[in-house]
Amino acid sequence: MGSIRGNIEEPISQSLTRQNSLYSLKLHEVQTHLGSSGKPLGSMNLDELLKTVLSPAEEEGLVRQGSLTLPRDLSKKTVDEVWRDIQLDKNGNTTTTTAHKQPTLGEITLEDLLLKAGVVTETIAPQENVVNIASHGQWVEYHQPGQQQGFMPYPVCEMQEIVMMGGLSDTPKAHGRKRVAGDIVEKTVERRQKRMIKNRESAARSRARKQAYTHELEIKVERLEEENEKLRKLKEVEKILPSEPPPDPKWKLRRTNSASL
Amino acid sequence: MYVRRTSFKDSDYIRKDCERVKKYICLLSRGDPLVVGRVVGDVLDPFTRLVSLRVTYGQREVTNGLDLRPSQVLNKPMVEVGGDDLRNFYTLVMVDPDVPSPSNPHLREYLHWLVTDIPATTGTAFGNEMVCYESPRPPSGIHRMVLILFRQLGRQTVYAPGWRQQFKTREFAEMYNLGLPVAATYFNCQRENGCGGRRT
Repeated sequence: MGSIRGNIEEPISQSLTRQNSLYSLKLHEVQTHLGSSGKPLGSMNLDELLKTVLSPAEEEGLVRQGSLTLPRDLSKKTVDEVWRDIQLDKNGNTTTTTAHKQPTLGEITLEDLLLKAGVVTETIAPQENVVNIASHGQWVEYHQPGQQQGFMPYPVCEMQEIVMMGGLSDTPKAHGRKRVAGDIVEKTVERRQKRMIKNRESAARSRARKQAYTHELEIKVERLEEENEKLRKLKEVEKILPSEPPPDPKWKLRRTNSASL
Repeated sequence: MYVRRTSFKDSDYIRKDCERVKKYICLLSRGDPLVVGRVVGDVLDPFTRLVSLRVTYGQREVTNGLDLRPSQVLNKPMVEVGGDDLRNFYTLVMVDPDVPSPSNPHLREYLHWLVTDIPATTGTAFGNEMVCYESPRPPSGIHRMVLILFRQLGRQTVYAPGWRQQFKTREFAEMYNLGLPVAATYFNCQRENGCGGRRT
């Protein structure tokens, strides 16, 4: 995702993608990520888990948007307990599971765990989306005032994704919405670029048109001036020296001195 | 004393003509309007002007790149062809390469007029109007209307195409052995109430 943006974007994009990836890490990866410090993952409270996971991200200073409000009852539960609940829940209802729902605890991604646990309810999410994006957008712009407007959609899109991950209870829909938001942004960018190209071509044609006509007029003026000059000179000559039309080469007898006598 | 005008003027004028021709070539090489306006490129291949071509709509003579509105080109123009030998016959083609719009000319070109068997030193009135004049009415954008003159190999050797759209001047010339053009000119035409491509 970083490749689409320019170099100015790099510092922000890196931390955003990192935050992204935190959520998409599988739990066993998170375990290794956190190292051997602290308890094993399974018996951690959700509270502690989130704290340890999010603290490196906290340092980047961007987590305020991603801060998830854990419901009181969930935060005290351990990961293991939450997982058991999820399993039971799954067996109970008929929701379709997407391809990347892994049966084992280690395989599930952090994001999925939080979603399944229903960490943040759906009702809060939409408003959160709007507020978060706006404030984050402003924050981004404040930080990089010299940035082009064109780059704005990308950080906004990223923020949408992050909040949505924490915010939506139904995972398949979440992924669909993520994709759609990205697509829409892509399409507008594409449209803008096409328009820019079209405008550029139109400007080039306009310039060519103008240059061709002025040049044609210059050539014409030059030609006419010279013809004018020629005709004027001819008129002058006519006045001064009234000339006869060239005589026919008639055979005439001429009297000349042939002998020097 | 009478002085024969030609005796001392000849050399002078020959010298001046050379200079004039040289200057003309120099000006053209800087940017022949037909090249700058992309007529040579989009419609024609580079060629040398060999015969004079004068196109006049009413009182207005067409100079390359002149702007004309549909109301000014409703009727066929007066066309005067140069050359010197009455035994040479010329074909005049008028096309619009910017159909339907210059930004998207996927219907390039549209044949507006085709007159064949024009004797040298005369005009289209003396030729054979194979495709009758259709007055330009560009729906959008600023279109170039190009008039091209070819020298025919013989009389009655050129025939009209089946339709006006998707006309290809290059292919047409090749098909009837017309070779490279001997003269060409063009003007710009846009809608009657067009604003020259500018928005307000």
